[in-house]
Amino acid sequence: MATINLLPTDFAPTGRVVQFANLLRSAIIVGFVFFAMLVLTLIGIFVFNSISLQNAISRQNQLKDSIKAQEATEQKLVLVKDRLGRAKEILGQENTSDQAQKLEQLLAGLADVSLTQSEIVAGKSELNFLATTPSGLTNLLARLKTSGLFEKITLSSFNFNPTTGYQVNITATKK
Amino acid sequence: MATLVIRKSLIPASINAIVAPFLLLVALIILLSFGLKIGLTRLSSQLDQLSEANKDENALRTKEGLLREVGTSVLSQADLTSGAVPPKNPVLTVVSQLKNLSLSGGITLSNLKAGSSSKGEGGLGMVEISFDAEGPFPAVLDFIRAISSFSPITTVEKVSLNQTAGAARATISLRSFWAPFPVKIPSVTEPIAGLTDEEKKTLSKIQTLTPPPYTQVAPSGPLQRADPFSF
Repeated sequence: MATINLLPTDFAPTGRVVQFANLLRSAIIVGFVFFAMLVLTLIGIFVFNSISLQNAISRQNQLKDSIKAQEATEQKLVLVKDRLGRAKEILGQENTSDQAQKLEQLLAGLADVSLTQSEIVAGKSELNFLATTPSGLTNLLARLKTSGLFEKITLSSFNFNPTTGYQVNITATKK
Repeated sequence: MATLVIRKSLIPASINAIVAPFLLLVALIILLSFGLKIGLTRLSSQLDQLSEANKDENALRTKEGLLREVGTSVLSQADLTSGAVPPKNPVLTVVSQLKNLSLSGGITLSNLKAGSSSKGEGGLGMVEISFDAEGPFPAVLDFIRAISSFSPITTVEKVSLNQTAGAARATISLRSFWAPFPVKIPSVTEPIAGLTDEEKKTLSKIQTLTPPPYTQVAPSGPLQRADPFSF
């Protein structure tokens, strides 16, 4: 039986419009499905992260308890680090003690030479030597030159006394 | 007889057909944009929290591991370093160390004086000690050299040395140091590092120092008397 449309033609939408409306409807359905999936995914991730966060906080609390139990060790470690910092500061200060070792090295095995007077302060040494023989004097000067114990050596005075010997006064700077 | 009345709408039928889907589409777009914005913001903030929590956990785990690792050695290190840089003026300990050193080296000490103490930058205290040391020349040199080898850390500031007929007399000025103990430990969550290479180097230097010979006096408590009436 033939379909008879008695309505005027301008009362019904055109075919293209109907097609577009159908397309829009399909897009909306797809959009809503996508939205629903997105929401579900977000909720899933949110729940998973919440559980992970709770676990992390729980592990943190366990670790905090363990650290608190080792508080004495932590105190000692802080103390050691503090003392080492202080010690480094002190050890970095000027110390003329090692100059004594240099004098020992300088005079070791030197015959006919003695150190009569010396003043050591802040890396600078004023040394008065007495060499009783010319060979002693030669050896002393050679040792001063070759030992490399001091950075700079200045001959302050040089005297000869027939009864005592050669008096050599030098100013040596710490290396 | 029934009458069919067909009224023509003011809105054209074509527009009328797409209004509803269009409005739904707009609603979907609004929903998507707001939903996505809120959801992603929350998720991002949660991920930040999680990342922060993981970071804190790693820091705590490292700290806990470090404390467990150093637990056995840090006790002796604390004693050693506290002896090297004591919390109070160490003048008596230094004098005791000097006496021990002089006795073992055959040196006579005299004119022992301790100056007033002073505090430098960062609370590092310093006391000056001066004295005369007499003895054979090599022994005096050994003595001066050995001053830096005992604990508490002491530095030689000035030495005046005179030698006559094999005997030497040295006027020596020393400096010894102290610093108060730290009063605060870091909070539980604050990370703490182990000893650095530089600190290990300083520690190995301190380990070579001779500690002061402390003696422990046994307590002389009340002795038990079997019969309280027998004297």
